[in-house]
Amino acid sequence: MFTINLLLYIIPILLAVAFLTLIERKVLGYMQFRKGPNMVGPYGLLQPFADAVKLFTKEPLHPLTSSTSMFIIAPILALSIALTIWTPLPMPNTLLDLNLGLIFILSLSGLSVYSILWSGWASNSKYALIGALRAVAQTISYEVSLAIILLSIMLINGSFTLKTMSVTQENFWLIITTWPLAMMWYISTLAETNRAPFDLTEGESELVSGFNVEYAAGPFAMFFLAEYANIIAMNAITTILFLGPSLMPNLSHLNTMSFMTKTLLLTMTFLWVRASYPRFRYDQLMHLLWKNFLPMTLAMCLWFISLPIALSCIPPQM
Amino acid sequence: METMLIFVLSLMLIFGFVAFASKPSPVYGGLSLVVSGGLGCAIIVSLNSTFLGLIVFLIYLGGMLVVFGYTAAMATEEYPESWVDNMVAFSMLLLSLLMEMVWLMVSGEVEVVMAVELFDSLGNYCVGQDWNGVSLLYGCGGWAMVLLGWILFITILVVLEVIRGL
Repeated sequence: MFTINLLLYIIPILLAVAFLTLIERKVLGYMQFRKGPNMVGPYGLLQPFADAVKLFTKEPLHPLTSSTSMFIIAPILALSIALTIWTPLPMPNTLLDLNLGLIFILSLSGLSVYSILWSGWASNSKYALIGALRAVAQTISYEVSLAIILLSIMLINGSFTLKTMSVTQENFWLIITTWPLAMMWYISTLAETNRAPFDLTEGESELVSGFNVEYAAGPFAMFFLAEYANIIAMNAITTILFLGPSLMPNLSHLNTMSFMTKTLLLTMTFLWVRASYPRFRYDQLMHLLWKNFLPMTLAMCLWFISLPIALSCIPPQM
Repeated sequence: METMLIFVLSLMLIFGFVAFASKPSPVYGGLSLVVSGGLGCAIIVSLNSTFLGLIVFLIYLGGMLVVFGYTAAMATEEYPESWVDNMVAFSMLLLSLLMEMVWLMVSGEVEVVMAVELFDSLGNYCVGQDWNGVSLLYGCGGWAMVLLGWILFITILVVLEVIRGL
């Protein structure tokens, strides 16, 4: 029973990830006036499975001087954390009903940085190490602003529980009332998941391939899956926080539909951004966060602390 | 069941401490620090202080990440030292096994103190007990906050002094 539950939970995520890679290639292709993958299966629908078969039947590379255990642990850690982040998400029923769901998500995403760091170090290659350090610096910098934005949202919500977000947004989406924060959150999630235009860690022309140069076949596929699962999970969190689907206890499947539709639209915007914007320079990236986003989020956090107190309407108003 | 869980977790915590105290390569030290930090937080969580455990995990991991990044950048060795032929680690394991046996023979049973409470002035009203501690820290625990801030300040001064000129 436990195994079936586990599989029923993991397989849809992996399927979503597989088709996300396909739709990314298709969308990018059509935006650049070409077709994208269209040979394997109808409209290239079987392309992700062909890729998976190819990746997992390849021989996993193993550099001679690498640190074996950490070299293997790092991708496993990345994938398992990317899958665990999905457990406390209410859609609208959660797999893991946590009161402190948001802190749980934040600490998990903090933990996933370690997989990057360890993979870069364990490869024992200068390229991988420098790529990992750049990735880590970028990710933890943007995590600061993500945490402060979350704190402001939680001050409106009144608790760290994700389920109550739908109660908070019963009348109005928070994306409008917390506008600059929502925008900064979205951009920070772009940076947090290492997507274009912040994909400096994997910029092909600048660093060879970032922290995963030495990885091939299975372990590489694990990193890849983790990255794309993180993208969808991040967008799901954005949906819950800012575009909360209204809670109808009798029609919870409608809730799920609207939730996933919004998540998909946000994910498509990620792809659109990737097709449209050039990559940032590294100092511009850091400048954007530490000198623009952070002061602004701190000010907004103060604003959202003082506003409910000043109006004497401290949440949660149950 | 819960006592057993906490017992196993604290056993693993001790192994984690042994792992980083036995001076492996800095990155392995970082690895075992993270693992033992996670275990410590797991113990706190299983003592029903979810908030405290998660917050400590979050802050500790986030704060230590900078340190670990720094050590990873500094410790690029061709053959990093692990625990495989580390005398200290193995003798510590042996010692802890011996201690365990002696303790079991002397006291006969393993008892874990479960009544760990931080602040319980407000009882179980609406919010969890560990949340109350946070507001109390800012309320009647104001001087504790000042003291903690002062400790942090001194720490950063010490760190700056230690690494000056490097």
